[in-house]
Amino acid sequence: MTDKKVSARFRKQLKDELPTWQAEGLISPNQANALTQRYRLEKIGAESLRMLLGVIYAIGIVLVAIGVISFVAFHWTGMSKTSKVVLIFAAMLACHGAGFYLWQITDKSPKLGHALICLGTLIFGANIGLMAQIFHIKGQWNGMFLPWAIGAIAMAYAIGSMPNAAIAIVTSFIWFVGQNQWFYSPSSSWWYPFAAAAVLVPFAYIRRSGVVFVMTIICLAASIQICAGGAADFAGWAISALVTGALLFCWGLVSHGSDKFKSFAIPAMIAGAISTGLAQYLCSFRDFAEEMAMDTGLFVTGVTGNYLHVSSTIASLVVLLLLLPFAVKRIHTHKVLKAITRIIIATLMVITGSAFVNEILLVVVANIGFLAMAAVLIWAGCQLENRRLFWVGVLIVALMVVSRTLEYETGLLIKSAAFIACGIGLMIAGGMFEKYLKRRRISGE
Amino acid sequence: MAVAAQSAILAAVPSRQVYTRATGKLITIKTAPVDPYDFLSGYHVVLNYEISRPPGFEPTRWDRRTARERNKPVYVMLKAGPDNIWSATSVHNTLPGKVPDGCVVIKGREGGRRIRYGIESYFIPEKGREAIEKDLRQNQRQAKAQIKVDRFGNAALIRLIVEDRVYEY
Repeated sequence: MTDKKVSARFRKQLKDELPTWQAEGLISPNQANALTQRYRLEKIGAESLRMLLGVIYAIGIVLVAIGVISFVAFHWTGMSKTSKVVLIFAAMLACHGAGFYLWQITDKSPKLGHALICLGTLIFGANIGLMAQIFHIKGQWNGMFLPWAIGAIAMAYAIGSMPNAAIAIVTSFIWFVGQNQWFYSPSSSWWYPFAAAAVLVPFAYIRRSGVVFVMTIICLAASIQICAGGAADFAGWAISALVTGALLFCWGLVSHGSDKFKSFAIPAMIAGAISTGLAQYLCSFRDFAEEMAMDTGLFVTGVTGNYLHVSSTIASLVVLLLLLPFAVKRIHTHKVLKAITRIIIATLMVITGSAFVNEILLVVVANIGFLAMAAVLIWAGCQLENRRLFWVGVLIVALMVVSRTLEYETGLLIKSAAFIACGIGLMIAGGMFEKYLKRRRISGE
Repeated sequence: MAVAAQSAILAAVPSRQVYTRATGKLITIKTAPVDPYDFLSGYHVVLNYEISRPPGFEPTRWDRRTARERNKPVYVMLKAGPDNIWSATSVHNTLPGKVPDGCVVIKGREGGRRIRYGIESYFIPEKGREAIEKDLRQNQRQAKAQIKVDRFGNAALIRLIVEDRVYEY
């Protein structure tokens, strides 16, 4: 019998329904027992309690952490510097010590132990601020977040802790954003995407953590795009968004073929599609396309001159080209994925090329490309009988119509007609899709 | 190992300050305060100094290419006056090999139209903050800071002095 994963909601409903079915004679006691064993219904209570405890511990450590961080704002008087330093070290070491004892040494209370270790890492971050306060050290507002991230990722690797990895991702990204707050001035943090990829991606794969993987790819995509944008403004951001989008999508395709990392596939493909779609959507606006066409010179300068800030985009392109053969192999029998992949790769090449030619060509190409993406998604939704894909495609069409109506100077009458047509079109499309699904189900039976 | 790493990072945060406080020469310089509130770092006074704009200092014009050049270190020679207040005499791009007797060299970085030495913030307690702030504002011309400067030019702010009132935290 296959071990099929079902939702917690289904299991709870089944547990509630089984006595009724038995009472009505729909199933025998043996069958009820078999279903209970099959779906582990007797363990629902214990699992819920474990989840509740986990949430309570998480809320508890966050509250304590906020209290400690608030304490940073209150300055101690009357204590010597030495006493303060000893106290803050003691608080952090006590949490880590207690956490290790409860989790790793005695295994008496693993969840509480893990929560204490996470609290220790949060206190570590607050302590960095306290140390700076005690010794009157003042730097940039984001200065404390990088050492915090380093400490958190060290702990994450040491004990295989996903929450510590999450803390490391968030704090390191905050540091990076702080380094790039002046968008027009490329910062010295161009190396961040490389470091993040080298440190965080292996952790996600070693621990097979979907949450860490999703946070990592969002952090990587955003940081690569911020670096390119800092070097070459709109052109840098848009080209980087298209490259990282295509890379993430292919990464998802390759993961789809792996048994161990199949859970990484959908988030990567969705992230890739969103990144590509966003760049394409913005390029469909005339003003944005003009800016992008003007900034392509900066991008060329970035690639050939000061290449450091576009190096992560170039590296993403190289990785994309390396992954592409494996991705193509994965999809050669799957016509829907093949179509979506072709659209994404074509978008990258055509839009980037058009940006170097002319802004009018870029606008036309971006609009056609976005509508082509919508058409493929609608078709994919019909092929796979997937409502989500279908509706995303239909909403993209509606978004294009509304955007063009609002962008160009049109009279209220035309705007009104466009909105009404969109609304009616959505309703008709939805109705037709449902009828189509029903026909396919009947013919399938 | 991870706990050791976190402890090492925490110990590294004030290490330079601790070295400067332990080995540096104590000098007095004149200040001019401004006061913002920083949530994450408690209350602190932001200080300017007479030595922040030393003679011969020309701020670099800002543009995208020189963002890194503007942050390069500069070294300012200080000498004590007859009132034992130290003031700037010259600016150098590198640490001078030989420092004349009676002088110290302080290291800073160009920050806008002045030089920052890492001693522009002084944390003050919540209790009594208003009184300290008022005292500093009303007596700007009499306010002084005592700092320690080590042999590498790094500085640590020790205390603030307004007339005969000493503020040390």
